[in-house]
Amino acid sequence: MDSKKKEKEKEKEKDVVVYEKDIDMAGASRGVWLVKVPKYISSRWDKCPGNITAGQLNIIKVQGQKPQVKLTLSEAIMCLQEKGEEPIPKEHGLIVSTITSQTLGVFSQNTSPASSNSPMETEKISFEGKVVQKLECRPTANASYMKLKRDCLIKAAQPTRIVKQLDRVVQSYKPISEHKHNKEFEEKKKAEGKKARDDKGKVMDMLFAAFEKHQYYNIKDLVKITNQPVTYLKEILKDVCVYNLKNPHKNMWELKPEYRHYKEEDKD
Amino acid sequence: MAANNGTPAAGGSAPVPAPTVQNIDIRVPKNQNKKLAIMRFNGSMGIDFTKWTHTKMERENNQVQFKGFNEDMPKFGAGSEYGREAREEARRKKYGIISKKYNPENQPWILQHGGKTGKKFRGVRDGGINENASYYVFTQAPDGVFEAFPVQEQYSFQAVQNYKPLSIEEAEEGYNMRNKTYNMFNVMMRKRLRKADEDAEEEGEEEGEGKGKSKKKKGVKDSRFGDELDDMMASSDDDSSDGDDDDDDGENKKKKKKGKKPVKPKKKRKNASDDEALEDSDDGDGEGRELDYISSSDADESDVEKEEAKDGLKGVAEEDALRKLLNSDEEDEDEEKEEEEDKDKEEEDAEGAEDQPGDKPSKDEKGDKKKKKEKKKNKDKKPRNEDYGSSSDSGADSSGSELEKAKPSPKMKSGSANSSRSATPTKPLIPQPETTLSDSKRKGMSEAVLGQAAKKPRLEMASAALAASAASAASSSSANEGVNEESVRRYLSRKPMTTTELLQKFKSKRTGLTSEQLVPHIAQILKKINPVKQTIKGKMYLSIKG
Repeated sequence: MDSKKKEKEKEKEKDVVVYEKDIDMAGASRGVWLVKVPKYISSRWDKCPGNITAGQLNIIKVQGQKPQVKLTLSEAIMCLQEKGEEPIPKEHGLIVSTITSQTLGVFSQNTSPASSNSPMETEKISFEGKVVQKLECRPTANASYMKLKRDCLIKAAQPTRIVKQLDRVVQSYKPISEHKHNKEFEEKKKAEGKKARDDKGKVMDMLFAAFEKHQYYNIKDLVKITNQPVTYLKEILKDVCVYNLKNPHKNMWELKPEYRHYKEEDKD
Repeated sequence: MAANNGTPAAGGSAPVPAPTVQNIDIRVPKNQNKKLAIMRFNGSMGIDFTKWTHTKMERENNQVQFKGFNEDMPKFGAGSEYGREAREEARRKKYGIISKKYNPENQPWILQHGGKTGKKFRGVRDGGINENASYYVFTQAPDGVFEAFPVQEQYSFQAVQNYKPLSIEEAEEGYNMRNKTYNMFNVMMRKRLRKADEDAEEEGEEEGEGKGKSKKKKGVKDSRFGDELDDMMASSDDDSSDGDDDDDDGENKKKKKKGKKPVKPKKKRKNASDDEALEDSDDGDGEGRELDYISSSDADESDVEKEEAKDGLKGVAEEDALRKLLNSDEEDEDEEKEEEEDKDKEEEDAEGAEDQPGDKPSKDEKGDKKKKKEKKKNKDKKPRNEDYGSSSDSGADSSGSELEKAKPSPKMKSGSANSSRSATPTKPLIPQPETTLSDSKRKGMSEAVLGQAAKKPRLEMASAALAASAASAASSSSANEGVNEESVRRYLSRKPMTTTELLQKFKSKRTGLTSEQLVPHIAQILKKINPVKQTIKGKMYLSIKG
């Protein structure tokens, strides 16, 4: 039992993440673009592997005019089409705007898994840059795009729950005479057999170990911990423990004062 | 795959300069451990990321707030219970409380830059940015390719003030100090002005006066400070008198307030049950002055001033005296509330009746009769100074009538309506002016009723009377209906009580006496009654067996 507990505690420790407070401001002077893209593009980009070209930006600069930016998706992305999906437009115009009333920064949280030099997960925050331009993806409104949107709408309008007429009674509740977990418990109990009376000294050691961790125990918990018959356990408990009859800690066992050696600082 | 090829545009319009086309590849790198978020600041905050140094950012720790109940118990060691948390959780679940687990990832960010003394920001998550569209951050990789990272969250950051705001109490305190501060300026300004004008002797005098005045004013009205400043600018001689006028104004305002509803507070006083608090004496105060206010004689202004300087408690005593007089012939059935209400009316009625000068002689007669009655009843009462009373009475009536005219007519009506029922509506009041003037308290009351004309003679008497009042406390307090033989008897016949308990009984009532006056008076009464004395548990209990 104890070993299991220890394992659990270890698992808990693993969950603890060390957060590094300091931000890595290396990217403070870097300017980045913030691009808003439709969901259908982002879902494909999510699927594609990281090392291939996902698209191409075409920046057309005409002197005396604002540069025009176009987003062209790569063939690989276009091919990532699932069955029943409409083909998505290949080209999108990007509307460039600067951010005026706000200051946008980008930061990243990097979680590095537990390694040899640090046993726990560490999360590091680093500054990625300042958003200098905001781009909005706008598809060219052609027939295929309209079809895509129409299909999207129809799909969204479809109710997820449909009324269905039943022609016979469906029995959803069936009483069970013996539940699964009851059965398991019985089996386990049978396998363990009756609790055997252990040596008194051994039981006392177990009790003292338990009382070191906590001051008050319920009799049920002690039975579980020591795995002794209740009557026998009570005999021993009467020797070394006192039974609390009053609140707080009503109906709980506690060591007799002469056996206690709790650190005072714990109390504070 | 960087491809920076400048290709000529296909479009062939000759005059337009050839557009250059730049093609940049985009990659979407996959990094599960890296999460990007946008921090949004208001543009007016003037954020410059490049100037940030010693930047720290962490999640706000709300663990303490999140803590459930009873979590101050130790988790292990001494005092801890095994499996307590699990049991508590189960217990709570039984009542339908499903506690959420604390998730540090869901807490707002706290950003600080520039070290300990630098600026602090708090970033709260903006919801729903990825609902209908997705955001990508494009950054340029070393090889020229754009890398697109999806943005997971957006936080809007707000500056956190690093000073502590005042609490309500502190603010209140500060606000109160404002008056003091103003006053200080006030005094200092005056001082300066005076230094220029006058010699040092006068200075000291006036300063003291100014202080007293401003103290009064503080209570009255704040907005007059502007006026005051103006006053100060004026010559210092005018200054003091001006201030006085101001004061009167304030006083009058107060009175006006009360004057609106003159009947109500009286009633309240009459119906006073045993546990009525002493505080209410303020009401009485106001009423005494209310009449002053109504009289519009300017000549008496200075008198009013002096009068105000006197003890505030006096007002209560006045009222009591009045009450006593009114009640004296009905004292026996005093318990009934109806009667008391009637008395109210009677009082008003009497006030109304007083106006009519034709009634006067008959009133006086009645008053005399009345007086005799009283004498019989209260043996310990002093003989009255009748001469003085009558003289002041005559003087008072003229001004009194003035007063009453100013009063609203409904009072008169109610009085006359009532007169048919009680045969003695005029009686109780008439004796007042005649009989009461022997001690200061009475006088105060009579002055209140009679109005301004009575004041000057009264004031001359006042100082002497005040001295006498302490000596004659015992007798005079018999006028205070609450503390007399009868009431003591009543208390003692109910149940045995100690002298302190008895004192307490009277203290809680509005007697108009200080405790020093009360003690000898009660002792005197007790001597007279000579109650049965029992000693229980070392305390002497007094009782009367009916």
